[in-house]
Amino acid sequence: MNKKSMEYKLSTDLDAYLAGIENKDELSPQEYKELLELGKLLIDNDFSKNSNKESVYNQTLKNIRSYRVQSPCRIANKFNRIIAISACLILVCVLSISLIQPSLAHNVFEKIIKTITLGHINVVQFEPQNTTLNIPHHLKGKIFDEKGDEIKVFSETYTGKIYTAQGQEIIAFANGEPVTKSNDNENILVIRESHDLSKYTCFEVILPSYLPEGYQFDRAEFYKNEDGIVENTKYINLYFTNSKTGKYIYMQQRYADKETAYTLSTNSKVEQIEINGVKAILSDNRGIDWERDNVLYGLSSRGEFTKDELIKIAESIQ
Amino acid sequence: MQQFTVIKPLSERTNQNPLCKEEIYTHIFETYYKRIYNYMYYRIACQTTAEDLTSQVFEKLLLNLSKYEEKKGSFEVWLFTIARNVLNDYFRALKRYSIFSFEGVKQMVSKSKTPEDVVLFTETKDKLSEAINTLDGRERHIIALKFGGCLKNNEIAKILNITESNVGVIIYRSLKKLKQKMVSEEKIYE
Repeated sequence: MNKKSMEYKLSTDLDAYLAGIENKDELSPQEYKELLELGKLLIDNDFSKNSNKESVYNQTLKNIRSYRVQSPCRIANKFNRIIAISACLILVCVLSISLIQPSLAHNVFEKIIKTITLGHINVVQFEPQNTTLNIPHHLKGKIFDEKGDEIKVFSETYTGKIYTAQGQEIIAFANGEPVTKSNDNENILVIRESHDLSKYTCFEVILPSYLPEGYQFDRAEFYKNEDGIVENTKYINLYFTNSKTGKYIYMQQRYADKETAYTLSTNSKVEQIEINGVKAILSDNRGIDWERDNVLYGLSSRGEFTKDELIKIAESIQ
Repeated sequence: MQQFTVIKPLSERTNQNPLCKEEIYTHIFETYYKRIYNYMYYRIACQTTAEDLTSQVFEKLLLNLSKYEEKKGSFEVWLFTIARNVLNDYFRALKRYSIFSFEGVKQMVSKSKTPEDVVLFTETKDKLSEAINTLDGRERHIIALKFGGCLKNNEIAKILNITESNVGVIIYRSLKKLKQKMVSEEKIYE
C-alpha cells in the first residue's frame, strides 16, 4: 500500500469508526493497523469525564442571562455615573468602561456574582478575576500616574490619582474618553440656592428633608446642552456639605428613560432593600439607588456615615 | 459512540419563540459538550481553562444563534469555528497578559516559546499530553478537531481553510509522530 492511499484509507476508516462502523481488516500492514488503533483510542479517549460539566452549564446560563439584563444599557451614555463604590476609584472606572463594552467586560471578569435590576437601573456585582487589568485598547497612551509615567495596567493596589498626558486630573470616563476636571467645569452650571431647582429640569426635583447633623445643601450642578444653556435637563447633581469637616453627600437625580438608564458595577456587596415601599439597591453600605415616579435616584454617602443614616436620608425624599 | 445530531432549523425556532432559547441551549449543550470540551483539552491540557473556554463557546453560540444559516455550512463547522475563535482570543489575551507578568516574561524569554507552548509545557501530566506537545501548532489543532471535536476531514478542511487531502496527510503524519513518541517514552521507562 503506498503512502498516499494509506493516508486516504486512514481518514476513511477513522470517519467510519466515528460513525459507528468498524471494518474487519486483515490485509493492511501492521504499521497501518497500529496507527488506526491509536486513532480509535484517541476517539474513545474522553477528557471531559473529569470535568465539571454541571458547573460549566450553570456558568454559561448565568452569563447569558446577565447579557440579557445588560443589553438595554449598552448605549454609551455621556453621563454614565461613576461613583466610587469600591475602595478603588480606578477599578470602578474600568468596570464602568467595561459595561459600555460588554465584550471587554467579558474578557476581564470571569464571574458575575449577582445582578439586581430595577426598571432603568442595574447593579452588577462581579468577582474580579485578576487584581491587575490591562488598559483597554482605546485608552492606551492616554492615562498617566502622578509622576507622569504612563499607566499600562490598572492595579487594584494603585490608589493614586490618574492624569491625562497634559497633566489634567481624570475624574471619570465617558464615551470611552477621559473626562478631566477642567473640561468638565466648562459644561456645568452651578446653582447655590435650593429653591426652584425644578425649573431647570424636566422632572420635579425633591430634596431630602432629613440630613445628618452638620450637613446642608451646598450646590446643584447641571450639564449644559450644546448651546451652553440648561433647559429641561434630565440630570441634576446635588451636593450636601458639612461645612466643618468639608465632607459631603452626593446625589444624582435623573429623569427615567432609555438614555438615562445606567448600570453600576462593583466587587463589593450589593443587596436589595426598600425605600418607602419601593425596591432599591444598597451597594457596599455606601450607596442607594432607586426609581420612583419616573425619576432615578442615586445617593452616595461616600463612606462618611452609617448605612442607617443613609437609608434615613433616602426615605426623607418624598 | 459519538453523537452526530444535526440540529435542524435552529434559527427559525429561536426567532419564533425566544422563550424556548434555554431549552434549545440545554439540548445543544448536552449534544456537544463532550466534543467541545475535548477539543479544548487537546489544545490546552488544563481542566479549569478548558471548562472556562467551553463555557465561553456555548455562551457565544447562544448569543449568535440567530445568525447561523444552514445554507452557509453545517452546524458543526459553525460551532467549531466559534470554538477556534474563542481559543485564539484566549491565546492572544495570554500573550498580552504575559507582557505584564514577570513570570510570563521570564518564561517567554528563556524558552522563547509561544504562550500556547508555555501552557502546554507547564500543564502536561500524562504521556498522551506529552506526546501531543511534540506536535507543531497546526498538527495539534487538527488532532484536537479530529479526536476532540470528532469532526470529519471535510469539516476540518472548511474550518481551517485547507484542502481535505491536506487534512488527511496531517492526521496521518501526526498519528505517526504520536505513536513514535509514545513508544519511545515507554522504552525509557522499561
